[in-house]
Amino acid sequence: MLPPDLLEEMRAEYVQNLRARLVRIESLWREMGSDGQAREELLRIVHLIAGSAGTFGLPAVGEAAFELESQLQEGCATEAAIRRLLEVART
Amino acid sequence: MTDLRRSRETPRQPVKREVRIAAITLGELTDMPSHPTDVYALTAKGTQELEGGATSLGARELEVMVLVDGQRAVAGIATLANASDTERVASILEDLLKRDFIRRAGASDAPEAGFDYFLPPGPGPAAEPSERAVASVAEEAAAGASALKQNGYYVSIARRARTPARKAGQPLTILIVEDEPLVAKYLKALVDMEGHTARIAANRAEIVEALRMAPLPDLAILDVRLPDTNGFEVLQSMKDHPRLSEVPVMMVTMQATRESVMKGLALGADGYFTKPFEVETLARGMKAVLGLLPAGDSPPPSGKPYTFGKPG
Repeated sequence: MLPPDLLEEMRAEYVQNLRARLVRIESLWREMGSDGQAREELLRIVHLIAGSAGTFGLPAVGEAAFELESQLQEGCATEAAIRRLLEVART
Repeated sequence: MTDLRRSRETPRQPVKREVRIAAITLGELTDMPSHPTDVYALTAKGTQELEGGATSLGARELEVMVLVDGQRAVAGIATLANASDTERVASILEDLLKRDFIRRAGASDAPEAGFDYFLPPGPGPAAEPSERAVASVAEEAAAGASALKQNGYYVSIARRARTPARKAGQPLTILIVEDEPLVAKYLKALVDMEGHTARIAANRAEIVEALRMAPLPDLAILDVRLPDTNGFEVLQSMKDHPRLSEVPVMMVTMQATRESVMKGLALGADGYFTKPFEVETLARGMKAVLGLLPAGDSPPPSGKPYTFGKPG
């Protein structure tokens, strides 16, 4: 088992990093209609969150990101899925 | 099962035992018995022996020694020497090592050879297994996917059957291919804590760099989705490479579906982890693929997963 202090330190770092990513996600979502690159970057960030949030004690965030990632891959991402990720991650 | 097989093999046992005893005795003199991923290079004495007119070596020893090039691993030499028994080739190599004809290869032994076409930039070959390979693992994939869902890791039957464990307590090198920096940091902390050395790579160039370094990793953990390549492509390139084909590979997937497990197994993966990781699962999965779990050890209970910072 890893030392609890180290785990908490990494978790805090992750949460801080997640906040910055959420800001980026919102702005990419607005740009996405006109910009293919924005979609790529959005997909990448959402994928990273989907694969990591659960490891850092945020399984609901991971699940919301996974749902959004699946929608983005199929080209049918909904505003609701974005809102859900942002809400879950901010609580 | 094991006991039955042993009793059936009783008449052949004395021969096997002789080989083992030889390996252990030589192993003590030369640090460690050979492992399929070990790489050797010729010493000056060995080069002289091969180039000189007369030799004191037997035909089988010569046949093995000419294949020692500072790059090929023991298992690769066994394949080229057409030897069905890697253990026999390993024991010849240990004997040559003891007699100072060869030495363990290090960082200076031109490890870059064989990497000219390894993971070239740009879209790589489609990492798709052959239909035959898929058919051969179809049954295992179903069982593997369900074990993966339950336990968080799965080690293939083939790997469990052939992995000779490194001696317990010996530090191992684990290559972690992961593009999320904080997850990579977390995995590195776990590997460090287990007393091993972690090598981290996040993209194509870093993967090539990490695989060129000596010593060869004892295990590679490959994330499937990466920014400029993918885990299946890396897996296929490793399995096609003379030096890397014997390095155990665990794939990391978010979906424990039969299809995703089947593709990895058919391409030669030795097992799977599911994302997100849990500390205990990872530690056990690494031990299982490296053959370091005690025999008969059962998979972890599929109870409540460990939750970060929140007990229970």
